[in-house]
Amino acid sequence: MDEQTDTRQADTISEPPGLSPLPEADPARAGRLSWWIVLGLAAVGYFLLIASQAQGGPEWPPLVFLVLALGAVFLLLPIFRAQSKVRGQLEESLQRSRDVEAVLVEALDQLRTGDLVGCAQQAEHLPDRLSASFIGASDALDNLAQQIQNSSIEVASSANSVNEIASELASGSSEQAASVVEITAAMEELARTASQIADNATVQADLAAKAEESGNTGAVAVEEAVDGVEEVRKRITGIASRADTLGTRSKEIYRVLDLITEISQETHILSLNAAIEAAAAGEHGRRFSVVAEEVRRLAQRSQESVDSVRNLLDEFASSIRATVVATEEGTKEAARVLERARAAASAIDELKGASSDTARVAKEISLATQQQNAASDEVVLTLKEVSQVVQRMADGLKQFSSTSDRLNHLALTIQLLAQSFHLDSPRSLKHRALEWGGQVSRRSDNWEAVEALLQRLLEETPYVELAYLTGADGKQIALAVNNDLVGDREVPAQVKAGEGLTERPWFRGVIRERRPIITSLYDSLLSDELCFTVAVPIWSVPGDLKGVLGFDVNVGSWTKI
Amino acid sequence: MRVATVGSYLLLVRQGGVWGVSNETVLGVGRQENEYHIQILCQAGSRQIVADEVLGVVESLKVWPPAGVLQRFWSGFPRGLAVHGGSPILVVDPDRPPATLMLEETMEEDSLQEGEASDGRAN
Repeated sequence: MDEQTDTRQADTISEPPGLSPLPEADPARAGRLSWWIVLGLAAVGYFLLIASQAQGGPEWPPLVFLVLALGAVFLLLPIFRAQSKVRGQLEESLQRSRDVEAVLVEALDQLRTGDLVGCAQQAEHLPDRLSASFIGASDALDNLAQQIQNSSIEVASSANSVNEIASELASGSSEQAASVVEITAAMEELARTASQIADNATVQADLAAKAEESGNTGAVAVEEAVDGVEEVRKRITGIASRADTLGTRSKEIYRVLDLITEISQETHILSLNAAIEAAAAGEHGRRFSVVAEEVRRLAQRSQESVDSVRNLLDEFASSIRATVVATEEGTKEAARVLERARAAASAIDELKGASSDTARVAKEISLATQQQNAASDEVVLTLKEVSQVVQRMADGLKQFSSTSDRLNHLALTIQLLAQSFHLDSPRSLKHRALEWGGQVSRRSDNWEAVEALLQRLLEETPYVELAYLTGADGKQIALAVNNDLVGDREVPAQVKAGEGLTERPWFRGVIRERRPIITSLYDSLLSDELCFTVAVPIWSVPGDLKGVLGFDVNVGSWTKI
Repeated sequence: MRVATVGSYLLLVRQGGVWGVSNETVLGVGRQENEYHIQILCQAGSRQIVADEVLGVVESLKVWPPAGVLQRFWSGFPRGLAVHGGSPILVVDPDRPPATLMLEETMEEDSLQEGEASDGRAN
């Protein structure tokens, strides 16, 4: 049910331009005209005779003229009788022809409205030959219309499929274009990264070369350091050796000092004994006591000198020992340093080798990254070209989708135009509507059963989403919804209530044309999808309109059958 | 009344103390290792005493005899006391030198001899 108008205007028969109507045949008038012609000819003849006589022509007696006139009358009398007979037959023929014309007009009218079934039924009332020819032509047209219907359905289905495919392709192409753009952006980023890596690799190669050079320099320095440490170790070893020698000499000196100490002690003993003897000698030993005293002092000084030298020697020995300890520690440290220096030299050798390898690898990496950078640039250029191609393809597919949309719409239009014919075919919607109308009409005395009937009919017709029956006054009697098609959607209130049905184009079209009609496309309130309405009149008796049956066809489902 | 005598004495040091021995009794001074051995005359003949250091001979040393109470309570008391260089000096009796100045071997021999004497006296 919608607000759009029926596009089919069929209020009057439109006369083709340029043809005037056929004149009506009147035999009586033709007979009267004949009599007047005869009389007129007779009068002319009489006046010519009189005129001829007046002008000196031969004198014909009026009796002759009278005989001639009577002869003409008697001669013309059968003719007039025959003419009357023919006139009667002609009238009869004219009447038959009028009847045939009426039937033909009705049949052509049915044909005009696309009702080929009705047209064929009317053609049966025509004369045999005409009926046969007309029915043959109607059948041929019926076959053609069925083929067109079938083809239009297939075309619409194919167009729908093409449209879906085009939409998917357009969508996919758009996504592809977007993906290509993303890939291009990613590749550009990769190219930039590759360029940075190439630059870094070049820097790394330079640094590695410098590191190698530094490694070489370091190796040389370490080698020199090792040589220096070795030299130091040798010198420390020499110092230690000389310290040992000094230690040995100091021991000899100690022995000498001990000897001197012993001598001084003996001298001291000697001086003591001398002093004792000198004291024992009394006065006589006084000079000897002086000698003893001197000897004692000598011994004492010797001992003091020895002690001094011993102290010095002790200090010297302590220094020597400290020096020896220091040299030993120095030797050990030098050995450790030497070992570390050799380890460092070894490590630097390895590092030099690694630096050399690193420099070589860095150089290779730099070359490879530069090649990668160049390749990335080429890939970016190629991707940009691909992006342009894909974009053009996407644009083309959009146009194709638009074209397929138009094709789909055109196919739908063709399908609807094909459906304007009432054909004896299950694919003919008008035929189906008339069948449904017949079933509903048989239950016209029990409207409560109509809703169940409509529901059953909907279950058999998956592309019909709504079926409804109204009275001749436009009041809704029954309503059935195809839940398989509309799902859980709520039926709008105005649809449930059947408000304003008398204003609907399908109702007005049926009331006006008294035959099945198909509306144009509109958006369904129930499914929000494209649909159209097929409506048929319901007759209680021929001529007595009882109601209107309508059903809404879902275009999407219909084109998929 | 005690009277001091002056004489010539040999001064020696033993275990931190200064001892004096009459020079007339000294036969000779010798050295063994780190000790001084002084040979002195005594009633038994001669003996050796030991010293850590021999200071020398003092020719005029004034020696005072010890008091009677010292003799009673100080066994092995010295023959006399003297002062030299601000230090007190114990003058040794050569017949009974103090154990400090005695050699170990000499002490053993003396102890044996005293034992024999006491045994004889006991006998």
